[in-house]
Amino acid sequence: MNRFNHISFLLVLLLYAAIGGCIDQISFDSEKSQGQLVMSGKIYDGPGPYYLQLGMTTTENTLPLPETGAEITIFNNQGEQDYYIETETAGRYILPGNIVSGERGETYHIEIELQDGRTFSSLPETIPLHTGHDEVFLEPGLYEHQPTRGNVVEAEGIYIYANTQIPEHENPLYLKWDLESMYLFRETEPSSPLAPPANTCYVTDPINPQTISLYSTQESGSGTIQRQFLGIKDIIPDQFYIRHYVNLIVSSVTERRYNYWQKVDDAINQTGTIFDVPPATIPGNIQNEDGDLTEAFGYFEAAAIDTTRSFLIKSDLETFIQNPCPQGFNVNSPSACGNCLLLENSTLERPPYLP
Amino acid sequence: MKTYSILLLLCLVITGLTHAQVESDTLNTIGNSDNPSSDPFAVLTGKITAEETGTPLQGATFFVEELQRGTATDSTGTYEIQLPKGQFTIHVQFLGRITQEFSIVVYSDGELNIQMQESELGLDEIIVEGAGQNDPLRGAVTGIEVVSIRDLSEVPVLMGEIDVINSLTSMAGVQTVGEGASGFNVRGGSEDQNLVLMNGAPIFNPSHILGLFSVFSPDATEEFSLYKGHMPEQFGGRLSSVLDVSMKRGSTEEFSFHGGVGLYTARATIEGPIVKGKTSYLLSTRGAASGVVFALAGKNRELARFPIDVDIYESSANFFDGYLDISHNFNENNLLSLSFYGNRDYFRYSNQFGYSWSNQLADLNWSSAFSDNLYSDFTADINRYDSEFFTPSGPQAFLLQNGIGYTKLKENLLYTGIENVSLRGGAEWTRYSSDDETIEAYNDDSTRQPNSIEKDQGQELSFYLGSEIDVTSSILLSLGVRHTTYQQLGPAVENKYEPGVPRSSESIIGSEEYSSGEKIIQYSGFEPRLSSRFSINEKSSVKLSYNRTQQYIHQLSNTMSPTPADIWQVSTTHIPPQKAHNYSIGYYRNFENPELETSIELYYRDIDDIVEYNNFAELFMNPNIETELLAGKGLAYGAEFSTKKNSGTWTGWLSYTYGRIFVKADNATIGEQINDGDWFPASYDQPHQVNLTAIRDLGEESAFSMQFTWRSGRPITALSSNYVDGSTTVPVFSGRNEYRIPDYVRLDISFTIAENIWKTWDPDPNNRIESTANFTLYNVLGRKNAFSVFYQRPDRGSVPQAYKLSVLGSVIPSFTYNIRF
Repeated sequence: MNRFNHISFLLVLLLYAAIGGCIDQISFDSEKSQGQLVMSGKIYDGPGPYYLQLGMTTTENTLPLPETGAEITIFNNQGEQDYYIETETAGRYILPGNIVSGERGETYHIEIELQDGRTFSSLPETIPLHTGHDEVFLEPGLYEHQPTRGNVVEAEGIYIYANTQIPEHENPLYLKWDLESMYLFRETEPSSPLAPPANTCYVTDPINPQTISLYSTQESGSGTIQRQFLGIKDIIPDQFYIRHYVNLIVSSVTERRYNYWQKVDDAINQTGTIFDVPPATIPGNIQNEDGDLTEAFGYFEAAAIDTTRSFLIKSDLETFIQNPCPQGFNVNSPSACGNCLLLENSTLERPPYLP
Repeated sequence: MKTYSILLLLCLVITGLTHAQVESDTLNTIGNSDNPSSDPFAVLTGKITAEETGTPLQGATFFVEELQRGTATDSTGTYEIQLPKGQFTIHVQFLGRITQEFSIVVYSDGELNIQMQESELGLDEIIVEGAGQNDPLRGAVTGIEVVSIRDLSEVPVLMGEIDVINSLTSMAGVQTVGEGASGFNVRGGSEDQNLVLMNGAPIFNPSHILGLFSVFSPDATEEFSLYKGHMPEQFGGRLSSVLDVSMKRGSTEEFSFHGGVGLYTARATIEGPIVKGKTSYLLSTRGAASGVVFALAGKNRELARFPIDVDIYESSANFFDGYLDISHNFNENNLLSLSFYGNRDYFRYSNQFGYSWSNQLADLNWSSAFSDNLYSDFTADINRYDSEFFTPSGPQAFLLQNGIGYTKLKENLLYTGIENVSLRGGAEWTRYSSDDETIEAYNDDSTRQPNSIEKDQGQELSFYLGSEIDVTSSILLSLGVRHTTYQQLGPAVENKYEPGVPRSSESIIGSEEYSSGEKIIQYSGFEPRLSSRFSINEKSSVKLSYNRTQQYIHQLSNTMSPTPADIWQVSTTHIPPQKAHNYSIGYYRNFENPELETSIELYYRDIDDIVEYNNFAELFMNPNIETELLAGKGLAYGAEFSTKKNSGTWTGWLSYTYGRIFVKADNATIGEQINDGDWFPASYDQPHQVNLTAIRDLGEESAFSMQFTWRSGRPITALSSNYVDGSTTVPVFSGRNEYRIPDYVRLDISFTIAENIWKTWDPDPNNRIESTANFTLYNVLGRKNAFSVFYQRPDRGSVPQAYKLSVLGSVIPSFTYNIRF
């Protein structure tokens, strides 16, 4: 090591210590809120069904407990109304979309009556008339990942970019992008021809759900956004043995919903530095019977959406991908090789967009 | 009516006391009376030593009664003070020695050495008669700290450089929210409630590199005073404190160079005569370029035994500043000084965001002696502060620019012709000019549309009058009053909002347009500034002060701590001036064995129309910025306990501060309340603070020192629950500032070595080169003090976890080599 390297190494040490700082996980007890309704629901310009999730904050868990037994009614500005049906999944409700379905330009709101008699309603939301249209690009490459704890990791990932056409319109458009991956997972092929055939599961996972990608034509113009970087999908080999789809959903939302997401972005992407916006609870559009927006959290959204997708196969990657469920007994095989429905967010129902 | 009564009382008191007399024991002549200098000012230097041994007395005070200012000796017993020509009464004080009071007549530069006798009385019977502002026992001003840069030379320093603002935080009642945060908090005041002056001109952003350094280069700084209790009437426009920094003038006699090189910064200052005896210059520059080091960090990452964050080596932080002073003596009664200050800072955090900012200040000062007793000090200042905030990546990458400046004229008059009474008066006019706020695309790939917003303009006009009066030997009064008129000026469009509903763009019911220079609204008010000292006996005194202060310009910041890009907003129809009543009382007592100065000060401040913010306030590019602001109430109170040891082998100080600041936004309109309208602690409320500074004299100018700080963690808003919206986990938070981060504890040590290595190479005994080396270990305990606690959802898992960020999470060594010739 020459003298220059000695000096620069010292400077590296000093500056890293001085400027880099360090982040440590700590135990920080704070009083947990309880008994407050949380809700996440969406209606969009497409055929149903439409889903809605209800929960209740609790001191026992930082995630809400599912809220069951609620009666939920949806109304549109045509005077129609329909009812959500409780599913087998606790706290999850479904609107078939037979009577009230999502149409651009129409306005919707819901009313919720809980088992304890409390009632809530959402502020009216109108599905915008326009949305953007994407073209998605998937580019494998190396990336450096800084986990919240531990060392920097260099790994192969998939860079996701999009070109987006934004139509010109007299009213501003407010866009939000969401990414999800959908991969196929096939159970171990049975060695006996008499055994039931192996299932193929279709597994959907959000990609970078804590990354909020927003765009407003009020701040920026319409036209084409070229090569917008939207996220990186890390490569988990088991997910890439068969086709791996990346679905890009662009939602055109209301200004209120856009402002809500901006605040969520501020609140969830805190770094602890002086540049952070002081966090606070984000009011959604759910109000109690007194019109108070602070007694319930969450949002009932009305959006115009457009979905684009692309896929990769294992030969597109540098990483060697082997069959996670080879024939015969293998102690390293995941348990899902015997039952792929054990995978979170998996289904045997084939998505309609698959060839 | 009340304020007029106070003015009348002030005039009566001044008139009634004009015949008071003072006795002087001896008269000393400074300079040559037959050939006085043309310079209206003279520099008086000398040494104060123990009469029986000749030992230099460090910390002895030399106080000029008529000017109400003074200085203290350094470790070699040397003092230096600039005085106008004339006759003055001097008080020299040192504990354990007989206080001297005598008169001097100053004709030109000169030297006056003083020998002090050991007291023949018992230590309990020592008569303490010093009356300096920096004399806690005898001065009339409560809550003042006067420090020369020399005093700080042996104290541990961050990054190896003596720094005015960082040094303040070791004093009672002065706090910072943590390393890397700009500014400081005084007695529960926010950062923008401090009036920071460079040669009397306000500085909008006194920080480099987000607070690691201040804009005051140590080589160009003479001394600074922090008024945290009583604020004399010549200062106005801020609520909580004044930091008055005096910069140096160049020598009219000889050239000199001083500078230093450290691991993080380099600085150089030259000064000398342009026309000997008449005109002088001083040029000081300083810079840091960590961007080079960040790049090296990236280049040499494989050498490190620990991971280096990609965001770090793609980051950059650097600054440069320069100060130039040119002074000219036109004749024996007129000194003209012209100084310029400029800095440029750049900070970029990876490809995520960045800032750049600059201060530019031109200061013209004309000091004139109209007679032996009447002095005038006229200043004209032009200041610009420009800031840029940018996000260099993404489809909406943008560059946001803000700027504000002012033109200021100020005339100060001092009359010392009445013995025992000094009269002060003056006027000050400030015209604020805010640039349009603009935003544009950062690069060609960005679709960000350019836009601009017209910002508000305003002006302040103040008159003030004051006096310091020795009523009796035990009562000293400082009486003053200031009257300020503020006007918001056009061009502007003023919105009218629907009453009874929260202000928002939806509640605008009309607007009125004003042309350029047209008056939109006017605020005015008297600000009494009263302080007094009552001597209980020779060893103890009590002081009381009451100050009314008003603030017409506000730093709008909705981040954890102020940033360089914050908007400076003048008061408008919808943003009223902040107003405060400040009360303080102090008890001061000196002890002799060991020799200690002790004090207890209590303060109380109530504030009206303090600026608070709606949650997630959007302050940038907001044409209706008042919709994001709330006018709240503030309440600050506390107690400061301080003891100081100025002599002996070990010197230093110990202080404990208990201080609280609460704010409340309880507007009747629903939606304009925070925490249901209850009092809650401000984000810089840190109730307990202990500071210990100890300096061990190692002979010559060498010293070992240590500094210990402990303070309470500051308030934060904590996580109380979560829910999932779509696939995003959304946090639910507690009420604002309901929790606290862990306490802050830090120990620093420092060695200053005055060994002159040049002498070993140069046998010339007349060698003028002096050098010192300083080695500091900052945070020697390596403690990871939390700057903040925040929440992130881990890569695997759905529930956000709490993390703490430690800005300086390890020992920070620094080395600085200083040279002077």
